[in-house]
Amino acid sequence: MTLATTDLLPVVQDAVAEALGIDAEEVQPDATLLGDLGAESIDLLDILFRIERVSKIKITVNDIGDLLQGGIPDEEFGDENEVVNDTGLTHLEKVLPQFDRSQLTEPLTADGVLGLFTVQNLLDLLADRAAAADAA
Amino acid sequence: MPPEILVGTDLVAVERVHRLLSEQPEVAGRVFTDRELSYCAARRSRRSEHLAGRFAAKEAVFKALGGAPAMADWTDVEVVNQASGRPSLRLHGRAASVARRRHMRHAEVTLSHAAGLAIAHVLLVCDPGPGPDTTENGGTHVPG
Repeated sequence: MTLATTDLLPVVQDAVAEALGIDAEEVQPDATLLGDLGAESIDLLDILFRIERVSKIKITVNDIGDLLQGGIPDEEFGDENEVVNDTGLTHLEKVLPQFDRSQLTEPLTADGVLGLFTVQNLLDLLADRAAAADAA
Repeated sequence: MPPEILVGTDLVAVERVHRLLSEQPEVAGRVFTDRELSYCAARRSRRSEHLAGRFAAKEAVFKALGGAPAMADWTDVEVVNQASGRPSLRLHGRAASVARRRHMRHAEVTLSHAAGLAIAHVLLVCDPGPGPDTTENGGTHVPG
């Protein structure tokens, strides 16, 4: 059965809340995991494993990275100082509906890309993965 | 031209790592290599501290290389102890690829833990020229 993002929202909210020790109501779709919710790398690991346990949908941190970089080689995604270039920004605008490069106040670096990822982006990724599993 | 020095530091609560691995044991194999797990398991009374230190080391390397963990597997960064006990870094996969791109030729890592916290500090020396050769097993070993 294909899971809609509405089905997955409570799963994600609970996973994030338990991992971060916050209330589920704080986990809003437009909240960024790292910035707004304060998750660190270890928390992201925890969140994804909790989601996997409950939903049986496996998403790794690497999967998120693959979404964000889209298979674009590092040297084509950013410059040698890891500043995301036009190719990278175009890709991010394609995969992250909320992202608009015109709103950047400073150059976006590679280690800042993950900070753009929101709860909704995670929901969308989970739903896509669930749909792909159903189709297989 | 002088070499470029990249640094990275990470501090992690030992209890946070312990909680993660206790509640979700399957995470261990996704984050740590067999060698790292064996090393830490042999230090029973401080297993969590050693694991936390290695977790911090992986984060510190990612920070030094300028990329988020999402861009590489956690096991791409491995802490290996030399015969003297001194830790050194071994990079694989995507992390090794990024290191080559940054022309990294040497790395130092130091770990410590106290008062419930584990810290790792990494220093990478990068040449302005071509990077180091990869080892036959596909890893880039950088002696400490």
